[in-house]
Amino acid sequence: MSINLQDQYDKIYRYCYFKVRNRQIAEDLTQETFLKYFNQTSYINRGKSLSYLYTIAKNLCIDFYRKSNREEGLKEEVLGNDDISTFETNLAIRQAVSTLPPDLQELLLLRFANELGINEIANIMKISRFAVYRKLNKAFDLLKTRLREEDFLWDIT
Amino acid sequence: MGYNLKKELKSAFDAPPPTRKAQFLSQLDYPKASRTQFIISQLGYIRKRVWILSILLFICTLLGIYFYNVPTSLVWGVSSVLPFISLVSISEIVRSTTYNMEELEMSCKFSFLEVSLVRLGILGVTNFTVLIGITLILMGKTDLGLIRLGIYLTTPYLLSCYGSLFAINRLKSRETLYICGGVTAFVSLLNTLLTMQINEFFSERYWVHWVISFIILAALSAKEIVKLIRKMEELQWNSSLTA
Repeated sequence: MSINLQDQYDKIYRYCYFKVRNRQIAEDLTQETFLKYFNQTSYINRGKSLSYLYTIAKNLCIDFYRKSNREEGLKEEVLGNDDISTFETNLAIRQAVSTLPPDLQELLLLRFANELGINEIANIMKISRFAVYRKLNKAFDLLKTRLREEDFLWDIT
Repeated sequence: MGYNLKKELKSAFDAPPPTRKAQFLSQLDYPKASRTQFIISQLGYIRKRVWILSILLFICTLLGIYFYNVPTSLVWGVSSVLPFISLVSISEIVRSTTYNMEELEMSCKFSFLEVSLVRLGILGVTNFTVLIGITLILMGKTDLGLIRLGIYLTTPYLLSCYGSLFAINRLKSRETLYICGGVTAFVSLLNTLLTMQINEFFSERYWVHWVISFIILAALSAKEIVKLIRKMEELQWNSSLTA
């Protein structure tokens, strides 16, 4: 019921992949997230919110970069587009998204790819609901501008 | 921003498919509870009075049929009592609000909506069983057919349901239950008075009125139930990790 574990695995994996840009590491972090979550039995029995799962994943990704001292690498990889050609989705959108600041990219991922609610996003990103709305609008505006520059807007409106 | 962009954004974050997912999930040890276990657990939370009243009504109808051989008066009698069955079920819905249990229920393993819907489902099945049982018993004793008898019995029940749900969806206080009680008593009284005042109330002459009332009340009740579910969805804060 409620959480479909299969579905959540994919979503957490997608989130971790977005953070680390490496399939193996993303999957390791995803599995560690679930193991940590289920070790906290007190949280499970009280029905802890979904955002707790994401908080664990986020902290594990941060820990990973701290340990391997790859903070700079993260920035470069998030902004880069090395993996873009791997997938068959709209390249223009992918490229436009990759030019956005990392926090806006994360916001778009949580909202549209992982389909989380505004409250949950606010909890994960530790910002207010109002800030979530504001950042979403900003992300859309930036995305629109980038796509217009690339002359791709006809395809998306 | 257009719908297409939102759709494209969804795929813009696609990651290469995970390779160890199935193996990991099959080995993962986490608290599991099947749907059946969940439904059975909720049976225990429905108050005894619901079961007792449903059984009492059923037994009373059986006794009524056995001792009195006045089928038509029995139809209005039963249809006047049935709204009280709906009241007992409705009291289960408002119980969370009445006893400030919402927060407690929302913090449990299952979402508030799921808990409420499962309980409503159990109550619905119970009411339906009682209703069908009574209809079948009365059918053998009167000249009325299954559909006709069903409509005679369920229309006052639906009116009571609609009135109570209307109050629940718009009021949020401990007094809601009393209002629902008032609605039920009014419906029951109205049914009795109409039967006494209008001759041949259960005859062919008023059949169309009954059918129209039934359809309208069924639609209105369904609308209120949808509204109630939407209201509960807003309270879906927690998550459970069961499969």
